[in-house]
Amino acid sequence: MRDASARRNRMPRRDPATRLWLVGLMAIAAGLAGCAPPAPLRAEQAWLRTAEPGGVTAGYLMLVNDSAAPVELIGVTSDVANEIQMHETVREGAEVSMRRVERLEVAAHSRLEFRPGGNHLMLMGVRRHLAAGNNAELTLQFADGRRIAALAKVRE
Amino acid sequence: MNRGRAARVSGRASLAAPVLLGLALSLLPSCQSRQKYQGWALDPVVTAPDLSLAGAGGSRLSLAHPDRPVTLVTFGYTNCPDVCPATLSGWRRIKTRLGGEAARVRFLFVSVDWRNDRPEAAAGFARRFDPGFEGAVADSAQLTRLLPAFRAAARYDTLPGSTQSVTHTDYSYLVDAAGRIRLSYEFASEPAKLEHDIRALLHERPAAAR
Repeated sequence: MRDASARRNRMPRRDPATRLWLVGLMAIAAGLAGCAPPAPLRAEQAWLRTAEPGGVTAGYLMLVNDSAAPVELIGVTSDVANEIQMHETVREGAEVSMRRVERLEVAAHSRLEFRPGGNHLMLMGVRRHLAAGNNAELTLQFADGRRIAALAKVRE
Repeated sequence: MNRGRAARVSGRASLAAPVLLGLALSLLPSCQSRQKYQGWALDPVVTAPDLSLAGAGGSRLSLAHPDRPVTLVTFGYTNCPDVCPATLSGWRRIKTRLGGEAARVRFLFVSVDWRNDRPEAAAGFARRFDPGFEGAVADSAQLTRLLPAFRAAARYDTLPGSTQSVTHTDYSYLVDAAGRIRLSYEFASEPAKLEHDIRALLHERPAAAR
């Protein structure tokens, strides 16, 4: 008891304002420790539209390439679909059709958006019920051999 | 002399200005009435052919419905992963916005992929987005009559590798109880626009469409 009391007494006494500052700085330091800088090549805002098993659906994301070199997306896989193709929606006036694309380049320091009515991932042979709120993992494959994972949220 | 004449003209002009402004303001209501819809008004208004489309369970669906003053129509196919689901997902938001008035509106998805889509598949595709949405398949002969009336198009295209794809118009259309194709909306139109026009059609007097 006496030892503990002695230790407490040895701790420097600080006024309440200083203590508040210290607590604040510690909180910021703890927060920063958990933050890694974003990867230069990454997929953001990935989502899939709801689907029934055996059906088709679409996936969307923003592919960000903050690196100094272009990258080429050559494929996407996931355990929630037998096959995923990359498609672009081709529009001529009010008429639309889909065209499969084998590779999509993202220039250095730029981004490529997959969005409804534009580039999209076509998931064929959906393996399980994809309900709103579910998550699904996508793996994006690049021509240079890199693979990155994207967690896609299932939405209506 | 000239200066005095210029002053008289200027004085007349300043008197005329409020009159002209008043006239312009009096014309405003008529301009607004011409813009009472937010979609593209089909002009001249065409009546959709009275067709009996194949629905689920052997049912037959027509474009207009005597008990529903407004039918929202789009063309697509069930294997369409991107545009058609996005359209029907937008329709669901429209239905939510309409609240109780949605009960007076039909939401009809018409498959143009008569080679591959069964009526059950078309109906199931529509129901995926809302249990109240209806789906039907138009056959080839029906499409040749249906699509020109809507100023729409649909066809099969063969892609390299013999893959077949479906090209189709991705607009949504409002059809009134008399089967007249009244308004059209491009892909991804704001749900608020359609909500506005659906409400306007629900509340219009019978003579308004003429």
